[in-house]
Amino acid sequence: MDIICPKCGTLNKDASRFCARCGEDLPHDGESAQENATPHESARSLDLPWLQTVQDRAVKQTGRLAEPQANKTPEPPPALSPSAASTPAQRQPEDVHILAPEAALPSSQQQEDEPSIDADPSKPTGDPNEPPPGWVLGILEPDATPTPNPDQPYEPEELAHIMPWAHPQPGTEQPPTPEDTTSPGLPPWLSGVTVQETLATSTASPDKTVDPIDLGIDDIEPFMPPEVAEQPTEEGAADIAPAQVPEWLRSLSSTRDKAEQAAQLSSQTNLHEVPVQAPEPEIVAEPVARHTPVRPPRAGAVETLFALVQPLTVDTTQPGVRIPSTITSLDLRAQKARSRPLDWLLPDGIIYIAILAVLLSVLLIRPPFGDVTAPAAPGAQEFYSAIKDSPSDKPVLVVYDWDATRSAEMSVLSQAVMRQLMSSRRRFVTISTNPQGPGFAEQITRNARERYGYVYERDYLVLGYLPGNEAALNALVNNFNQSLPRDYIYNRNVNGSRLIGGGQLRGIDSFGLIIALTSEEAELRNLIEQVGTRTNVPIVAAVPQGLEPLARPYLQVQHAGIKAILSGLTGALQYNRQLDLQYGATAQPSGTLSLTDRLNTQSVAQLLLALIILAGLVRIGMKKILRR
Amino acid sequence: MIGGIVAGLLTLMVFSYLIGANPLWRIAQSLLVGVSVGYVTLVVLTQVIAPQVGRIVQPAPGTPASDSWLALVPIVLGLLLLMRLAFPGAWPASFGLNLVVVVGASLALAGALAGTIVPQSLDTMRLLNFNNPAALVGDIVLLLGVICGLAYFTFSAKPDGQRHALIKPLAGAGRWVLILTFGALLGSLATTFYAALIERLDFLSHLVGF
Repeated sequence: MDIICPKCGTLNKDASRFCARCGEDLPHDGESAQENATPHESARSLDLPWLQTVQDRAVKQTGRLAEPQANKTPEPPPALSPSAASTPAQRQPEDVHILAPEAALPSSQQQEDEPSIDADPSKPTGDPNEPPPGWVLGILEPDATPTPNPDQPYEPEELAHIMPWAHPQPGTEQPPTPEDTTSPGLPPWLSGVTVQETLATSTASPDKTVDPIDLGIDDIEPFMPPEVAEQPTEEGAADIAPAQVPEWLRSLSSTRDKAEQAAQLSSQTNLHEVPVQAPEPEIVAEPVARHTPVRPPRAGAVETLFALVQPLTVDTTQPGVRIPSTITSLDLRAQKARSRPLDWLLPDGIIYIAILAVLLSVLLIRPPFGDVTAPAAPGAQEFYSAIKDSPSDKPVLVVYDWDATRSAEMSVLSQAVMRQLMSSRRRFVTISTNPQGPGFAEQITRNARERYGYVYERDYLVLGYLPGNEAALNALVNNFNQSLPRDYIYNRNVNGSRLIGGGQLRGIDSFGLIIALTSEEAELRNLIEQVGTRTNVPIVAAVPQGLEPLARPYLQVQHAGIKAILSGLTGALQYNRQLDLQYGATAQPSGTLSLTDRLNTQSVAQLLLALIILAGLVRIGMKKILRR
Repeated sequence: MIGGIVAGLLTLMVFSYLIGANPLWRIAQSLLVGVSVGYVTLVVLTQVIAPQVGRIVQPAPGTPASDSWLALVPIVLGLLLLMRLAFPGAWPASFGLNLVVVVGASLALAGALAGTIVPQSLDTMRLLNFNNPAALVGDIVLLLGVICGLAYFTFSAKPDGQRHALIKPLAGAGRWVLILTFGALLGSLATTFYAALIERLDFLSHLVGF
């Protein structure tokens, strides 16, 4: 059955609650007699207990709703509907203040109040002569003594203790405060609280009268973040902040307001007071103390560090005391200089002095150790034979690849080789892959040629330095003439010399023998790998004593090896003996030490070093034994 | 005479290092480095660069023109190498150096294979000569030394961190072979150093007049 709207007369469906045209509530069956549905009835259809309570009190207060309450049993308030929902602006002020005391009061007291409100439904309401309730009297006549409520179980003194803001001490005269007049039932700290505000508002000034009805919502502006300028200035920031920050937030930033609020809070002694911690005037960031586990220092670390930072004191009784080179403090350096002679003396200095003393004594005194009478070593014999058995019509290629660091041994060996070559009237050409080699080649050949009457460019040539290591030796094998077109002494084209000119030397195979005078293992190995593997010309080597263990693996190796090795002063001595036997002994230059004397001195030094090493081993062994 | 005196003084300045680093030793060291570098530079200029430039500027009679153009190539590469001072990361500046390194490495590899690795490996595999006991012992020692030395450099281990049971004793023996080898090398080097010291002391003694 369709329902006719009482306002506009539009025909609506039966199930409609509101008019589709004007939105007016449509009367349904049972409600047609009551066209103006009371809020009380609408509230009952809602499910909001608090609203029902407010409505009941309003009915009781105003007496507007004169309806029998006897037949009505207390029901739980129905759910809220959009039409009946009251906006915060439309809410009655009494509703607010009704809510606040209920929130502050304990539930037991609240329950006592509720029966008083809804008690006795059969009691007629709306009597105009009915005196107003006590809380209204408190608002209207604050000086009046509140009538004792027979239902109130507490004595006045107890009420004064429980709610001092509402029940002063009997007999005391307390002028009503503005907070008391505005909200007698509320504690002062809830006087300014509204439904919309979640934070405390700014305190009301003594002259300001807080209107209980005014919720202060209109003054609250929606929070807008301040506009961030590209170059914000302090003035701009200061101008922006006060205009956009709402009052409730502004009070939060004010430390003075917080202090006053804290003072207000401190005056409250109600047990039901919500504990609110007063903010501190100044926020001081406390240092964060982090207790991290600290690993204990290693054993002896502290003592070592202490010892390092302390000035050093040399202990001469303890041998082998050394100052670490990492210590660079001036004080330590000064003390280091003062104690240095003693530190140097033990034990390194003694060893140095002993060796020098022995060597000088042997060199100067020349003890009669005797001459070496043993036959020439097989190596020296093979070396001699290799040079002797090489084709005499072919020149010999002598490679000077040693530097000044090995001149003590290599000069003796080179002189011996030159002696045999020149004594046997063999032509030879010298080259070097070491920059210092041509200089030594030129020096040794110049000293020897006068004795044997050799002529440069006819009997021998010094071709100079050949750079490039492996690539140079490879080029030497491929094209000998183009590798070193000029000699070292006169820087002339070698093609014009009698030794090379006329097509006598077409390549590396034109040589009858290659003599390697090398002081480094890499140079000898390069010569063997780049030249020895690509030519059939035999190679012999004269090397220092220290290079012999590295050169010996190439001895007598098929297709890539050396025919003979002559090493050190010992080999030079034996080689010279062989030459003496063959070509006769030569006169030793004056002022030079003979090979025998050098070998004797060297032998004594080696023996001394061996004794020192043995003494050190014995000392270490004794220490270990005593430690056990 | 003066040269001898200067040489003697420089020798004593070098010997002063025995008491520690001092200004005299540093002066001698600096002189050595400076003179060595200067001498090498002079040798390179006169023995390498000048002849190469001469082949372009004043070629020998009868040399073809292509030889002059070919001689220009190393000069251009050398100039490109000098550009590394200004442009370290540019590839043209390092083109010559890269060429030298690549060619040198390839030649070294080929030479090592033909002159060291293969011949040494073949020489290790000698037939045992039972007729000569000394040679027999030497061959056996050589064979065992090579095997033990190579076994020492096998660092592969089982999950428990231990080597194979057969490799472990060989590696231990190989370690001693290496120790003895390095000891022999060090002893030989000591002989070389003694020879140099004796020669210098002899020079000083004669310089002084002994």
